Amino acid sequence: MAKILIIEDNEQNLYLETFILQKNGHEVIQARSGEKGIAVAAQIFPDLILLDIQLPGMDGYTVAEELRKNPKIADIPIIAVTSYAMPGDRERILEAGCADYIEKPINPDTFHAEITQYLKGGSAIHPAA
Amino acid sequence: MKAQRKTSRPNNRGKSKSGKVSVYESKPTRVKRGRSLTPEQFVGIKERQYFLQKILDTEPGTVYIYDLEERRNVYVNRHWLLAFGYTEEETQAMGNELLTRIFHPDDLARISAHHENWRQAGEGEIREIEYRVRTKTGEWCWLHSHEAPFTQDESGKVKQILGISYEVTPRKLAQEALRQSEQQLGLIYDTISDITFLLAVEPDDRYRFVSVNRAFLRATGLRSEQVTGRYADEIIPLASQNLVFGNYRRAIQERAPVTWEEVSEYPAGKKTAIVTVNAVYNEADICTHLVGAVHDITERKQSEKALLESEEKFSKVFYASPVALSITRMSDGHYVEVNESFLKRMGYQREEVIGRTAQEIGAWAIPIQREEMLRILREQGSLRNFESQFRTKSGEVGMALLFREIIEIAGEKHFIGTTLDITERKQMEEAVLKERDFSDAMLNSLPGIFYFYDNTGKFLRWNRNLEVVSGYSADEIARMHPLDFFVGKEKEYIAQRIQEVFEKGESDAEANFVTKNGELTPYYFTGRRIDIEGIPYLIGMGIDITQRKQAEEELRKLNLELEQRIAARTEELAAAMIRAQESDRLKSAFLATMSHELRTPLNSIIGFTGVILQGLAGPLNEEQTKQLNMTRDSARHLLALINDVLDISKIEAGRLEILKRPFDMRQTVERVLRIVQPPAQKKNLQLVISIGTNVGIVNNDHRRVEQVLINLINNAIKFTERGEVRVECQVRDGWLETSVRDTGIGIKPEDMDKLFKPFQQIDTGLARVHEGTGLGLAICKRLVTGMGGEITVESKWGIGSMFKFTLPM
Repeated sequence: MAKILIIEDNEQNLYLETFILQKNGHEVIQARSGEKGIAVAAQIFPDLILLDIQLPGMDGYTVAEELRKNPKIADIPIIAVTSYAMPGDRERILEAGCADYIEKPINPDTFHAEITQYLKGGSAIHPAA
Repeated sequence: MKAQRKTSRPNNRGKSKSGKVSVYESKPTRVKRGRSLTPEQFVGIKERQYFLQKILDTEPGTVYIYDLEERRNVYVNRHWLLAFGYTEEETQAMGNELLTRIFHPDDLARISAHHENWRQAGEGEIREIEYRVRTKTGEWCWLHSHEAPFTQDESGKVKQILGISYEVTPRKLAQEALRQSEQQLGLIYDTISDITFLLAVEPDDRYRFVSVNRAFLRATGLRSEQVTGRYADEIIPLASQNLVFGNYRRAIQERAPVTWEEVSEYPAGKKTAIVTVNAVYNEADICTHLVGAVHDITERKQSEKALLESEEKFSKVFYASPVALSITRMSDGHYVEVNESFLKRMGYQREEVIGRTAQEIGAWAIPIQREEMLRILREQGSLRNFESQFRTKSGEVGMALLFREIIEIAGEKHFIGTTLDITERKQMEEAVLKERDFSDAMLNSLPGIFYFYDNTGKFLRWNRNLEVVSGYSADEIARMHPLDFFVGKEKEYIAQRIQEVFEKGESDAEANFVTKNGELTPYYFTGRRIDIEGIPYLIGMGIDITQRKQAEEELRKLNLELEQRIAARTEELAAAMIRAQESDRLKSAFLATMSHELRTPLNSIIGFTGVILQGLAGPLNEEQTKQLNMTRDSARHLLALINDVLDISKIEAGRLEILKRPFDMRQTVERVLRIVQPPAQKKNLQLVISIGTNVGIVNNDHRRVEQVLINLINNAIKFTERGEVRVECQVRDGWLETSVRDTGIGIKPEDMDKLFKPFQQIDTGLARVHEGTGLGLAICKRLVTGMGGEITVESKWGIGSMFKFTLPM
């Protein structure tokens, strides 16, 4: 039972991710933009943040960096959710301060399991070494 | 015994002290005071007086009695008066002054001393003295006196003396003359530098030194007393005695002077002398003396010796000289003397040359040269550096350099000739000239200009080209300086280059060469420094580079054009590159967008179908489940297609990214298994995994490894109907070897080539259309290659296939 913040602009993605997490018993807070996400995170101190990289306006990398800047919420693990296509995306995600990433389209069967690893402090979804 | 005083009293008594002289006359003797004589005494005395008087008067000498106290004669006999010519009266008148008036002033001192001595004399003494007195006529005569004491005074001292004197004037004069002449002789004797000696010849052939002069003593270092009176055999060195005495004997026998040379060792040193002795005979014709004169020729001998040595030296020089020397008498042209070198060169023996002329021996190869030589010799007195040809005995002709000097020998004119054989030198000179001609020809054949000058810029050598090109004559060039061929700034430039040659050894330069008419031609010059006998020179060449310059100019123009074109082209390319980059960027953007855009809907499709199928949205019936499954499968397939397309696009765009990170291979394999399990199960295929114990952490792109593995296994599953798919993984030689084996239909040999090529689907002849984009293996190959590895396939149609890929650890 955790408090999870999802920063995602696509309604369907947002609905899907929320649905899966709620069905697994977690509390889900939604933010539909980067700015909103940052503000909400600073208010509610989630246990985990799911961040869509392909955000309009302030893109995911910037959001991640911004989240890391705030010491109060800097420790909250961020998992990026990304279409991941281009070279350098991986680096950028990790450098921006994300703990790991999940590729879109997500696998609904494994989605929850992958995320909860971070909640439990388990091993990474993708070795971030 | 009391001395008897016999005093004479003058006729005038009491005047005896006034110096008057008494004369004994036949007058009665005065008797002693206070006593009177007896008649017998008286007679006796008288007789005695008379007797005495007679004696005294007869006595031819003068008799006197001189009173030492009164300093006058108190008695003189008649002869005294006669001898001196004075009368008695005159004598009396003289009184005391007698002595001073009649004695010679030179004898006075002696006489006084003599009288003084008489005072101390004893009774029986007789003394002699010689002195001069003046006669009345003023002549001096010598007297020889014998004197004895006559009376003494109270103290016993002699008061009066009795003297008898004889005139010895002739003898004395003779003596004096002799003495003077002896003295003179002695002076002469001693002054003679020659040694003289006088030997007395004694019986038994003995010779005694009577006298020797000072020179003798000096020469021998002996003292007079060591020689005079000694025998010759005591003085003359033993070694010489035989010779010397033999010569003495000869002189005596032959009655003629004998002369010989003698070397003697004396205290003063070794001396060489010429000795002459002459015998002196007495009236009986017997040789009594030998007079000898010795002329010391030690010095002369030494100079003779020195001269001889010097002669020898010079003689040696003459004979041993490596240069041919000759001495010729001018009057007849005969060779008087020649040295070895002369004979050797000319090939003659000495006797063939001496006494003959040069012409006779055929030495002059060209007679006219002889005339010329003689002319110069006569006019100038000597000859220097005269070149002429000579001929040897064998007929060989050579070239010589003659030197002649006129000298006098024994009053006759001769000339000393030095002949230097310069045949070789002449040959060398010719060779050098030939060489020079050759090098001149060479230099003149050079295509460029050649120059050679010293560090003051004086031209020493150049070729004809320099004259031709510059328009200057050889004379002009000889007076010119290298910088004269340049103008303006180039002068300085060239000056610097020249300096560089002298300082660093070489340099070159391009500059305009200025001709006499002021034309400028571009030239390339080289300069090298060479040192000859320590003196630096510059040697170099110049080449006309007009053509090169033109070519350069054209090239330059061409280059400029080219550059312009290149610049234009570069601009184009830059633009093209920008466009390409732009296009690239667009492509990337496109890919990124496509990736995102295509995946997003799929996210929903796959996601929601999955969620529903999980039952999270509510319970499902069988038919719903079945249909949703089919939907999800299709969605997954679509996703695979999209991924493949994106992958291949990326590959084609060169944007394949390989991220090497250490990852656990086992985990990756396990994950892959999870993914491929369902399809394998569906087809009832065995999935066999075999991971080697040494398989652990691999440093590579785990995502891509997964991708490849999934692809291969999926392919294996696809093409296998029954049996197994075996995955093996091991580490060998630092490489990770992974193989996927199947028991499928295999691949035909002719299809092998097509395997890894994109879009080449192999027609397996099976009914089922195989899913796939045809990109799978192509992508695998690219990925494996991109990761630094290799992918291979082995297959047997109908049996199975094995795909193996190796990756660096």
